[in-house]
Amino acid sequence: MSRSIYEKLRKIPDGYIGMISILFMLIPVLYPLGLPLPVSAPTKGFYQTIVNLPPGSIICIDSGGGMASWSEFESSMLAMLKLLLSKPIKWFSWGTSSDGPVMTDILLKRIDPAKTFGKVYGKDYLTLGYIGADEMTIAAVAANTHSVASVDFFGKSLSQYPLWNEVNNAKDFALIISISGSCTNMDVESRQWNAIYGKKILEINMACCSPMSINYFPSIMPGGLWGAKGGTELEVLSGFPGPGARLTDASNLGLIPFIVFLVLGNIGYIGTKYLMKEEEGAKK
Amino acid sequence: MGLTALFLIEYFAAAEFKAIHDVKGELTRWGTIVSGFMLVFGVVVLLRHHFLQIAVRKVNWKDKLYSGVFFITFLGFLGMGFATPARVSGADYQWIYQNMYRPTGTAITALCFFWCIYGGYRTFTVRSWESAAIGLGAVIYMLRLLPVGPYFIPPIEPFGDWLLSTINVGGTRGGTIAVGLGALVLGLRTLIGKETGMLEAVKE
Repeated sequence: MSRSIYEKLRKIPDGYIGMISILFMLIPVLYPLGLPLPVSAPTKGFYQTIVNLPPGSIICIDSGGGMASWSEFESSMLAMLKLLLSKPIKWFSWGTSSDGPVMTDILLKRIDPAKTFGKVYGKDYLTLGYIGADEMTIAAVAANTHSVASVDFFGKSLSQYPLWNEVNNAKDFALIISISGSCTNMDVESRQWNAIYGKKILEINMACCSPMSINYFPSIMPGGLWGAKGGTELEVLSGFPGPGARLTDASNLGLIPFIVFLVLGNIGYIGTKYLMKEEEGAKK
Repeated sequence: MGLTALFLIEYFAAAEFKAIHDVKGELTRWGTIVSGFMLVFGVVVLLRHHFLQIAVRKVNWKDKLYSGVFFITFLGFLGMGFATPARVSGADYQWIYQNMYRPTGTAITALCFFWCIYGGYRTFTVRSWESAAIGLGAVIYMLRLLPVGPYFIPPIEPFGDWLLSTINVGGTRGGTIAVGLGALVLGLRTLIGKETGMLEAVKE
């Protein structure tokens, strides 16, 4: 190939790159791919850990994440909530981010636990609002749960709910589920829940954070859902269909142009460099 | 330094030393309160900065406009939060959250996606063996994430899993242990006065 072709490969205008990326993301919206999706080991672990909990177990959900990454969390959180509500277990969530409790509430309204699963708020599940101070609050929830809040997400006194009176500290929780948009989230969660109280932690996080979180799999973290793909896998395993397949197709097909342009850019770079070396050799 | 020492001792102290655990627990609660207060402090500092930009400082009209938009949006959002009967759990506030905050946040993330593609194309060039390894690992990992990856190249799934759970875990665990040990050594050196770098940085 001539040098000009390599140089052209290095200088594709931003406009073309953007247009091609948009086209790729539009494909699954117009024509859903429906490709089979193999279920990964962390998702299997996530599902099995919840399914194997004894009836009456209480789960503590550290609900973080952000609205900006809604497409990354929606399918995972929705599938997880449906799975939890379908089992004879109890759970309460509190917000480690300001968006976390709002996201949980939006999804719960969509599910309608009372109508769909016959679950009672305050008895089978409970949602608290955002409680700041990150790791220190996690430590406080684990040490003395009642010390961190007196009202629930709706501003009502927590003392009226039977579930709130069943939890005092980490010893009352059978499992921790951590939802976060931070790639070092598992470092914090494992320090507070596992190192001190020996609790197992399941994680829901963005796809890009799985290389960091996987360090804790499977001994501390028996399972994890990362990105829309993790949510889709749980939808398949739990039998609760949701938005995961559409989101996975769209977000993942968006990665194809990234890979294509990464490869093209490098072909251009290596080609130009190689030809330059040849030209220098010829001059000598 | 005293607080650091206390937290360090508490971690290793047996359960019989109840006083140490109680003091640490109380200080942790104080930390929560201080952090909450810092949020308010941050809001005040931000509002003051933008108020000065609008009303006092001699800056160009664009900066005044940006600050004005921020100022009005923040106060408006805050006011609506307090004005709606059920506060943040109310339907009014959640409508604002769903229809204003969420699309804005998602749009910003979507813009980042395009910058990632431009950045990957323009800067992620294979200039050494190390960058080649990182690039190859990234491509394999991304192909593993795609539904089309394992569909058209079946070995990409187990190979990607192996890369993630063996090569990646070995590297990051080593890094985490090194950082942990480094932080401990640095902390201990600071405690005994051998590490003065941070103090000098504060003086500057």
